[in-house]
Amino acid sequence: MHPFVRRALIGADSSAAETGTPVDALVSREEAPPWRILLLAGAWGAWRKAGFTPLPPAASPVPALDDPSPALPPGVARLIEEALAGQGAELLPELCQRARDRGRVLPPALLPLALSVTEPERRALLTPILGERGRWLAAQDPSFAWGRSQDADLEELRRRLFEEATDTRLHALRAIRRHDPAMGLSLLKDLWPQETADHRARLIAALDEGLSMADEPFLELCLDDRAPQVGRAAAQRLWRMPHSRLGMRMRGRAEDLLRYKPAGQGRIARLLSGAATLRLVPPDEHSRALSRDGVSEPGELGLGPQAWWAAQILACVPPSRWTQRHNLSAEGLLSLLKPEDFAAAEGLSRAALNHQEGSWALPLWRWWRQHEHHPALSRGRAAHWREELLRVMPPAELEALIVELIQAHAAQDTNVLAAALAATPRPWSERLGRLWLMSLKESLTELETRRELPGLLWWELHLHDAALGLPASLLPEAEVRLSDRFVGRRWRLMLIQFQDTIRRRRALHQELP
Amino acid sequence: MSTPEELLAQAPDRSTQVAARRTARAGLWDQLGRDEGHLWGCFQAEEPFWVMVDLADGAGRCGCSIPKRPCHHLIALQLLAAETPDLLRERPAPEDVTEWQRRRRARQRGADAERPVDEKARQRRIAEREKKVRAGLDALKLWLCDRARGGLVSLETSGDADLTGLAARLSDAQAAGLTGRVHRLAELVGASDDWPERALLELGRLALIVEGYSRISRLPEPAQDELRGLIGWTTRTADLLRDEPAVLDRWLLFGAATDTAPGGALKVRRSWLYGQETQRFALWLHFCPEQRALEPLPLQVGEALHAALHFYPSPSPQRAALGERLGGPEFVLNLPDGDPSVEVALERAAAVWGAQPLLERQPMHLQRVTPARIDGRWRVSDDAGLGLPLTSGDHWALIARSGGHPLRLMGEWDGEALRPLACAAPGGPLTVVGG
Repeated sequence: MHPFVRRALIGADSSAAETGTPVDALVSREEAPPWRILLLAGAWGAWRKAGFTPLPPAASPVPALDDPSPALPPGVARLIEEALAGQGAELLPELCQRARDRGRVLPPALLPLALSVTEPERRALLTPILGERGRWLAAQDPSFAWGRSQDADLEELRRRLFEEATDTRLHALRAIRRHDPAMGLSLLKDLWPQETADHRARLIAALDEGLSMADEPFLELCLDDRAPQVGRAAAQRLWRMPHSRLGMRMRGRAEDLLRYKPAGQGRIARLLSGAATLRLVPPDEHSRALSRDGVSEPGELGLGPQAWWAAQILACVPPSRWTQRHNLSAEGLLSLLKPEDFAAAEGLSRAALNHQEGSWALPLWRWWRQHEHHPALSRGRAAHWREELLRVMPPAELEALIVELIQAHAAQDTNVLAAALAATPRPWSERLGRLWLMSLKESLTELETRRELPGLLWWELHLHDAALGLPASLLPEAEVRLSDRFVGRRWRLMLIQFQDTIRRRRALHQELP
Repeated sequence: MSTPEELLAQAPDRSTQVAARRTARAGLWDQLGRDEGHLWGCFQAEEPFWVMVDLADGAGRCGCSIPKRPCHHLIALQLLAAETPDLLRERPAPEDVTEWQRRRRARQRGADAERPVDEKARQRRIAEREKKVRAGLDALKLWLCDRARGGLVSLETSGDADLTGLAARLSDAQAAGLTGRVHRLAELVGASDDWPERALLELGRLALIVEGYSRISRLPEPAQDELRGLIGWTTRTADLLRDEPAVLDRWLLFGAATDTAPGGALKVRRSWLYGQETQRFALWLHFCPEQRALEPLPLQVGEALHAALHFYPSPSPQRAALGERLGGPEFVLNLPDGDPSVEVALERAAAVWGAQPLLERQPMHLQRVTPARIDGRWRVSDDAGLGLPLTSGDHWALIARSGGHPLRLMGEWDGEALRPLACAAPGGPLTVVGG
């Protein structure tokens, strides 16, 4: 602190306070001391302002290289800016993807905002469009460092894996796995001894990226980890690996559980032995071996404990195993399955998801639909699986199913249709888009003419996905005009939001064709 | 017509901006239309109401009951016109709109009408005010001496109430120009590690004003006017336009900074204009209550107005009011040269402070500087490497634009730090940064 300020700070009724600058001569010593200090302070302030000396030279960062990629058009940059600020945020993936596909990068003005995002998903979207200038700026501040280069900046990822908080470490390990699964596994093994049980269990999740049989020996070892949560996390990965040791053990168990009896050959034989059957015979007791393989003990989802164990075991075996083993189609096998044995359908549905077996998705979906009201089924299970199975349904079958649901327009299918539309790869096909739009316009006409509110929930649940999924060619047609005769505030707001997304997407496709 | 960003910037707060965005949907409006100078539309609420805007001055009328102005309906209507002009076709104005236009014109005529001036009464009012101000400043001097005697620590112990009370007394003494400085003092105390030094300098400036006023009759006339202005005498714009000479030029808007005045009641915008022929800067001020939005400027940064400015009297005239407008705004292709180095810019600033030491800040236009953040400090450096510190805050947008290359920079220099307002890459247009 300057001695003059120090004196003023403690208070001084003396004339000794001086600034040590030429301004001291400007104020008479005959002034009352407090007043003199203040006048000196005023003059000193002006003297300092006018006499500011420049900062000495300092080492400056190396300038950025020219960006070979052109910047995004201003309209698209504005859409990205708004999305980052929360307006039309759901469009960010499409905006970034399109920018990337067209070889465009963010304009410099938008870079600080882009580099300030913290969510890993958003960072992954923005990284490819930061451009030279973005990577240069990222090197100027540690908080921007994630944008310095793409995921392939392994050094930085390694640093984060060893130094940062758990979430960031998990993200870094995932990124390393995406780039090089073997290196990711090896780094995880290096970390392993120092980690707490909870961290071990969380880090195992990173192996989901590029999971393969190369990870099997490590995961099998983890089954014997002293912390149960680590074993469970490892088992969950092994369940998806039918050729792993755990997968083979489960297959053996499952083959004992799911018993198929073919119908007898010929009329007489059929009369004597009955029709073909498929039965589930759950295990009698839970064992340590089952527990080690990740089969949890208490029953869940309205299943008794034994049925629950059986469902978990079946979930580890690819469903195609059963079509091969019994030489029957999925539909054929499921037609034999009674609703009372729904634990088997539960297990098979989990298996279809675990092993991404699309060919079983639609048959299972129809089985659940057929039996959804059966008293043996716990409430909501059928609805749950009818939504979940859509995630692995092949696109063509999914689209056919959606067309069927839209045409039927049944209120009980509202949630399923919304889930199906959400699961449909974007952009939708022209056929699906057109059908959906036609259906919307019919509803709007009905709304205007009858002044009623038909199917508010129906539309409420999938307008959002439609706004994001409609193909670019249909966007002009999707700009529905709201008539003044329109009633219903919720309808209006819903459509306004829909229109907003359509308008933004149209702007994107117009500015970046 | 303003851009959507500018229109949204007029909103008094964030919620109005969001609401305006939501309301700018064709489906919510009926009978949208426009003529040469106005926009209008009927907003479809439960009870529909008219919203209308005069394009000449951005004034508007809205039938809603929201007290904020401009409300989100007024902004939304202009957004619609800016973004989807096809929706607002030219058509005859409906009766409500013509009636409003008629009333506005009548009011304006009334305001413009000349009123006879009672010179005697005016002189009496001035004398009374001089007396009150003198008494107010005497009291201020006593207060300042008490603080200097008790030490700056006494500012911390006496609390905000002491300073708020002082500000109120100065306001009563018709020295309202000083209340801002007292509020600033209250904001400074304890706010940073170096607050004693900052507070001392602020107290010093107050002391210089008090001392200057005690011998005002001995000062040259422009200095007298300047000092009165600092204390709170206002000059009516009409008087200024009548009494001060018009400086005709193409005035380029170089940048604008908006702040909340100390005390928090007022928003103030400082727009820096540059006369392309007279080669001088002018400060154009706008104020409005904190919760309201400032009226939009008639030109963008990088554009020029062909107009007459009238400068407020001062030893180093800076503040000006806009007089007659002859043309524009027009985009300026060839920007004037800025100072070639930090040293030249500092010398120029020193000369101005020599003439007017109480000036708070000056415009600074540097031709080639490179912004950077070095060891956690923001700075710009010229080609010789000499630098100026930037104000605290976030200057990444400026650094991103420069990419480590030199650029033209316009900002406000307060003797300690430079506040960037606009920049331009070599040969490129001016872009707003900060403000």
